[in-house]
Formats: sequence, C-alpha cells, structure tokens
Amino acid sequence: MIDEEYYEEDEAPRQPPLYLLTGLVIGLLLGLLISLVIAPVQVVDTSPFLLNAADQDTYRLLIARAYQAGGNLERARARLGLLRDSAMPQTLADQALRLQSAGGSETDIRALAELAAALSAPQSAVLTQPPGLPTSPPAGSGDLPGTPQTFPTLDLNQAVWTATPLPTPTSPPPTPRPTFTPRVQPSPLPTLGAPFELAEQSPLCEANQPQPRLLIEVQDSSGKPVPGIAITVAWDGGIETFFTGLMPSISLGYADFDMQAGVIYSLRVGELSETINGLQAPTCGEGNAAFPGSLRLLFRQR
Amino acid sequence: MRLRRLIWFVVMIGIGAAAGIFYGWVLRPTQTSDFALHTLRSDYKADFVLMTAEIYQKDGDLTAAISRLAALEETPPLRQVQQAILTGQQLGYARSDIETLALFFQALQKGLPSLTTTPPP
Repeated sequence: MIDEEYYEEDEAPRQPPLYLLTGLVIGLLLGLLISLVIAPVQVVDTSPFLLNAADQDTYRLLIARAYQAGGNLERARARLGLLRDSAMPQTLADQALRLQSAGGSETDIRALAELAAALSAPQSAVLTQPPGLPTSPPAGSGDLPGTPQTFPTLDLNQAVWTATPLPTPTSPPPTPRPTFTPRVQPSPLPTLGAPFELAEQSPLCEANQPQPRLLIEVQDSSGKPVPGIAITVAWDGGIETFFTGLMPSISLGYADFDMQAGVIYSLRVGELSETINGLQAPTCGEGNAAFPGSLRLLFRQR
Repeated sequence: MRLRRLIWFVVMIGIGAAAGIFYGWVLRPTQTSDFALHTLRSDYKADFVLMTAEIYQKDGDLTAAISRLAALEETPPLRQVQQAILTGQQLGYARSDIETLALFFQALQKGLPSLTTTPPP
C-alpha cells in the first residue's frame, strides 16, 4: 500500500513536460509560416556577387557585351570586380563554353571569349600605346561610372585631359574637373575582314592522347595570338563552330576540336578565309602499334 | 496548476514563433546568395542600364535592349532609363555616360510610343 502511494505521488511530476515541447514546435511552425510564406522578407539593395548563378551569368554577359561595344577594359574589369571572382577569365571562358554547347548566340560567345582573353593578357601589353594607333580617348571613363578613377602609374604622355562636370542637383554649379583618361588600348583583335591563311600544318603523335584532335592556333600578321575568332569545322553529317581564346591558359589564339579517326574534315577560320579541305587524323606508328594522331594547324592573318 | 500550464504553453508558442521569424527574416536572408537582378541596389541597376545603353549604341538592336532591361526588373523600360539617368546624375556619372543614357531614352521613346504616355487609370 505504501509502495502504491509512493508511485502514484512521485511518478506524475517525473513525466516530461510534453506540453512545453508541443508549444515550442507549434510556435516554431507558426513563425516559419509567417516569415517564409505569409510575409517573406523582401530583399533589396543587394550586390552583384550575391546574385544567383543564372543572373550572375546574365550580368557577366552584359559586361562582356558592353566591353565588346566600347572596348574599355578597365571599366569591364571594375564591373567584373563586383562579382568577386578571383578566377574571372576562367569563369568567362567556362560560360562561353556552356553557352556554346547550349547553342547560344555567336556574338555572345565571342564577347565572352574576347573579354576572357583580354583579362588574361598581361596588363602592360594592354596599356602600352604602340605608334600608329588612333589617339582618341575611349568613350567612357576608365572605372565604374560614378567612382573615383585611380591610375597611379599613368604617364602624362599616355593620358589626355578631359573635363568631367558633376551635374548633381544639390551641388554648386558644375566645375570641370580634370581627369586622367587612358588613351585607346591596343586591342588584340584582328583587323576585321582580313582573312587568315594556313601557315603551318603538322601531325602530332601523342600515344597518351586517346582522342585525335585538331589543335588550332590563330595569329595576326605580327604573330600575336588572336582570341574570339570563329572556327567552323564541317564533316560528312555535321558542322560545328567554336572560338579561339576559350583556353587562355594555353594561348589566347588557341582552340581545339575532337576528331574521329577516318573522318575527313573541312575547316575555315574567320569569315573570309579560304576553306581548308581534306583534313583527317594522321596515322602514327606502324603495324599493331599504329594509332590516330592529332593535327596541328597554324593560321596567320595576311 | 492547469492555468500555469496554459500560460507556459502560450509562452513556448511565443518563443517558437519568435525563433521561426528570426530565422526567416534575419538568419536566412544573410546566409543566402541567391538573389535576382531586381534586388540589386539602385547604383548597380543604373550601371546595368548603362551597359544596355552602351550595347545598344553599338548594335542598334532595340528589341534586344528591351529584353535586357526586362531581365533586370518588370518596370517599363523608359522608367528604368529615366531612373538610371537620375541615379547617374546623383552619382556624378561622366557626361558621355549621361548622354549615352539620354540617347537610349530617346530611342526607346521612338521605339515604344505607347509607353511614353501614362495609361489612364
């Protein structure tokens, strides 16, 4: 009897307070319902690096197209900096490849490839002013619009002075401010319309390379690699277009294409160049050790 | 005894609700980097519009320009460019940039006459 009373009185307080846990869970669900469904937070004033992947692609492409339109590399560089990507040339090249495999616009692919190549090029080569180029300044300022420009190492001989008034409504009457504007940057792009011709063709036997490839290098007339050049390869039953400059780690003018052994290909570089016919993977080795090799082609602008 | 339980039950609901709201309104937004273009700050939006204007200045493709602006936000294109001009003036854009935007605005006005007038309520 004593034992029964003991258990009846002492067991009840030892029960876990389930009502508290239930209340907490109900409250939590209610809070999540309110904050995620009924009144979700409205995010504003974000920065480009916080955008989702698709919109970052859109943003990068827009920067590349604006660079293609204006040729202002410093501005493109500043804009890309907002995306906080330390490997931007590779990201641009990857995006160009993705766009190409998805059948995207050639203009867009070319713009991405050109910007990737321009960013990969040594900065000194970009800022050097070779003689004979037009001396008019680029259309925009050298940095993001509205942000101070910094060109600490710019030589006065390489700069032109432009007045940049600040038409802020609350500020006093605009006073022209001298700003450094770099002269037009030499572009690694070829002269539009000038055709390319096959300068060298050689077989390449690599036993460790299972897939025969077309290894193409495109150079301008002075021997500098040229990015953003469309290369069209056609064969019986197929055609493919790709661009130089998508692998800047190898060369700005480099592009390659996987061949099939025994298939004959035609190839054209640019739009006005002659078509090279009868290209096929060479046979390397002899007898049982024979394997299909790659083909190296060097094109140079006339 | 029962009243005390009821009070604690309600208190726990309140604590849970506060935790859920804190997660949804404070924690989750700062942990996410998955925002759309329309959430960009106004100066980034203005630069987006300026890039669109620069491309239009080069290729003259108004349809493509409008679709780029549509990707930014649902606001009518003319209003977006107007806003970009205002933002650009406040931020001290170079005159050439403001002119690029102004020319783009004029092109949109010509290309989109129906959008220049405010529709009746």
